[in-house]
Amino acid sequence: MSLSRLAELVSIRTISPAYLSEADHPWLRALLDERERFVGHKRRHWKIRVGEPMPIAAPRTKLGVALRVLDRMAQDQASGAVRARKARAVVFGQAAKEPEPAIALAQAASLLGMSPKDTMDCLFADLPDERKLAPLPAPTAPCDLALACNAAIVASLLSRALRIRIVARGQVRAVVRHIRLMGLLCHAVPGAAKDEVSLEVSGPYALFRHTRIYGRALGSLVPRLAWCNSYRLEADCVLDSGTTLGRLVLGTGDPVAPARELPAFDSKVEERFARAFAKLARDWDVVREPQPVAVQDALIFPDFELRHRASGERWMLEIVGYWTADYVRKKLAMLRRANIERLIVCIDEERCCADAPLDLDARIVLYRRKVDPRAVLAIVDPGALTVAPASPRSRKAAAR
Amino acid sequence: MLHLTFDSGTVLLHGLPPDSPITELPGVLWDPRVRSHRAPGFRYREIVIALRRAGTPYADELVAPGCSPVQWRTPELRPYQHAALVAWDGAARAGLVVLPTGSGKTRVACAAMAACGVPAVCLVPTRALLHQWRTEIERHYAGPVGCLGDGDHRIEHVTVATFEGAYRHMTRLGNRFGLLVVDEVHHFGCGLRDEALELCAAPRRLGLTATAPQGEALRHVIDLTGPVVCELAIGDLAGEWLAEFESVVLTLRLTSDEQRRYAASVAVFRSAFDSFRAVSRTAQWSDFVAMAARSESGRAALAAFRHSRRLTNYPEAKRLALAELLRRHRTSRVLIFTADNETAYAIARENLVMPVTCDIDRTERDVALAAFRRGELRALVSARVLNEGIDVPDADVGIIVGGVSGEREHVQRVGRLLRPAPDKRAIVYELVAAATHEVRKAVERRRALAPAIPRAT
Repeated sequence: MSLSRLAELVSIRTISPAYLSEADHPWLRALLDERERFVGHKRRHWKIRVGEPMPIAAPRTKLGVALRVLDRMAQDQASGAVRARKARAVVFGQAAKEPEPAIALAQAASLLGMSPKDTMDCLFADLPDERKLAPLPAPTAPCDLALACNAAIVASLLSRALRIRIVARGQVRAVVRHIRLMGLLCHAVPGAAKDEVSLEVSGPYALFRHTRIYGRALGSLVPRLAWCNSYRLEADCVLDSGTTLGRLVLGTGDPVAPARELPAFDSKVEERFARAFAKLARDWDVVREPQPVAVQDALIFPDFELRHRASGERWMLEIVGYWTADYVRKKLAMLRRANIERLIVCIDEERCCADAPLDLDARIVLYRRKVDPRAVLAIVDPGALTVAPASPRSRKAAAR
Repeated sequence: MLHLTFDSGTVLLHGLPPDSPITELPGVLWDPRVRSHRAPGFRYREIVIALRRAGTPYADELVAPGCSPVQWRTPELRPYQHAALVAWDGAARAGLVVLPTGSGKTRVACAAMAACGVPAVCLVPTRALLHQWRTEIERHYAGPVGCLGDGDHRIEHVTVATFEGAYRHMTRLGNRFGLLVVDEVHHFGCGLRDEALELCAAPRRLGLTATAPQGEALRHVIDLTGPVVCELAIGDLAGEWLAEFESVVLTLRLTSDEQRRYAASVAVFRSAFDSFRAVSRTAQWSDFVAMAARSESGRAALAAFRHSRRLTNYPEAKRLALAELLRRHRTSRVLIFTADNETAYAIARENLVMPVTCDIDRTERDVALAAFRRGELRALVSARVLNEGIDVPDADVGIIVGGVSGEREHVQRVGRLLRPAPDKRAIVYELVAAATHEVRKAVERRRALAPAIPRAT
């Protein structure tokens, strides 16, 4: 029986992450101050220092997380790499000619124009432990460090997840897009409450056994979820070298640093179209993230909804980048199953990745580089089109 | 009609009849998420064979477009290499070839790639080997050779990838190759990064190693690459195809202060470890480490264990013995193997021996190895980088100051010295700290080499 099946059948203990909170801020402040003091010192000196007691005692595990997060924030600076390499070439080359190490070193030092002691000092000055601690790229407050540590703790737990269940509201489309971009499978269905979406996330190979290959992808979900209006995440995680299952539960308000805010649009094409259409069709609103549409027992997330302000008439609009004829056919079939009567699909003429001809049997707008808003308006509101007709490339296919 | 497609390292079987015998194949499962049957990539070959046997019509859309046959110049093979290739061919081009270090496994792989003439991916454990393999392949293959790892990401019909690069990218690339070659395949089979092999759909597979894995790991490697089709040890080739060698064990006493500190550390560790074993007789070392990390006394025991190992890694007696051996063999090319980088740098400083470690970048390592070959460097010291694969043709003296990974590491290290040369007789010194754990380790290491050792000293 696969682990994911087992997880459905057994009761699983709940994992309670030991988040860093305000109570940890004093020792985090002390750690940041101490690190600042060691900027420019060798990494090995810093390693020795953090092995000793800090000015304010820190919980061992949390301190370990904070140190790893700090190390990721700033890379050590190599000092004198070229000089060290040259010193090694001269010293070890000389040692091959002169069997007595002390004499060889003196000869090499003379060739390098340095004293034997300085020569020995710079021999391995570029090794990781000899590199210098770099300053943090930006001033970091204890609360920022605490949030970053919490994100690292959650990402580490999620990287061990068999599967993840998410119930979210608002900005869900961006999460779904992120999940798919990361190569994960995502099954979206309507949630129990209004406007809620329920997502089941797992990696394709997770069907067979627990694997860490999706660790990074799964770990990146929570910072992305932090941009939803609300969310609740449940993850079944494999712990203790595969001997224990634990359930991690996260929700809105948990102290985790959010990801970088996503751009409002997925691509320049979408951004240009939204601006141009809003400018051209003053009676129409361009809704960036429309409500998902139910298709049998799943949900799909159209790119745009065009909504007439007075009549409330609604059209869904999809913009397709790379495509094959088969892909477009499947996509249209799926959208038909969703019973979307008013649908426009915009297809990039230049980004076809197959030879099969496209059988145009829906409202399709072909475009190059940018979607012509007049072509779209000609479909949704022909009467409103008082400007010149659409470009020859764009055309309305016969309605089904 | 059944369609086979590749999906992120797996084979999707769309439209499989419910009564198809394929559903009984190991690894084929119903995936409710996509409403299709799914199997791990490495089952592709078995699935196709089963479909053909059952006479089930299917459309194979798994292989990525553009996988055209490739042209090779077949390399010349020694008789045993040719035998290995024939055996692999006879096993339907899926199997393990076990040949000693220095016997030309890479050449066997090139011959296999030439014989198949299909796009091939070669997995190697380290970045250093990545470039060594690429150079060897370029001798026999005129086309561009791709590289995945060490900051490079070029996929060609013939591509060399590090284990790490393959692990990260095989979900995307697993259907682009018809042959999978795995160097040092003994690294697989224990779960760590096995996905690199599991997610690849290549139907032809060749595993290469000098030391085949054992037990459960071997069974899993056989599942992933095929059975052992050819196995030769150092003793089978020494004298004719490998240099002869002599093994010398130098048992050295710790100073009284070192002995006292060693005994104290071992006592702390033993106390915790014996208590653990008393209640968990079947537990593994990893279980002990996991348990010990949770308590202050456990962490003290682990620290004591590490301290005892550091004491034996490079005590005073080993310092003196090493300096003496370097003096004695000042005209020879010497490889020094240590347990850790710290010892390697200590030896480098004291004896002015060039270190070849993971911290030294590839360009400088290559320059050092080239200088060593030309005789411009008399010795190299390394903890792990030189353990496997790196081509060091002319070393004739090996000094093993310390090691951590037991018998397999030892066989690999000795193999570094066995590249054949006229009238060559290599010599391997093992420095062993008396009355420490190293004595038992040394016995185990010699047992691993026993069939090959011509004379014990």
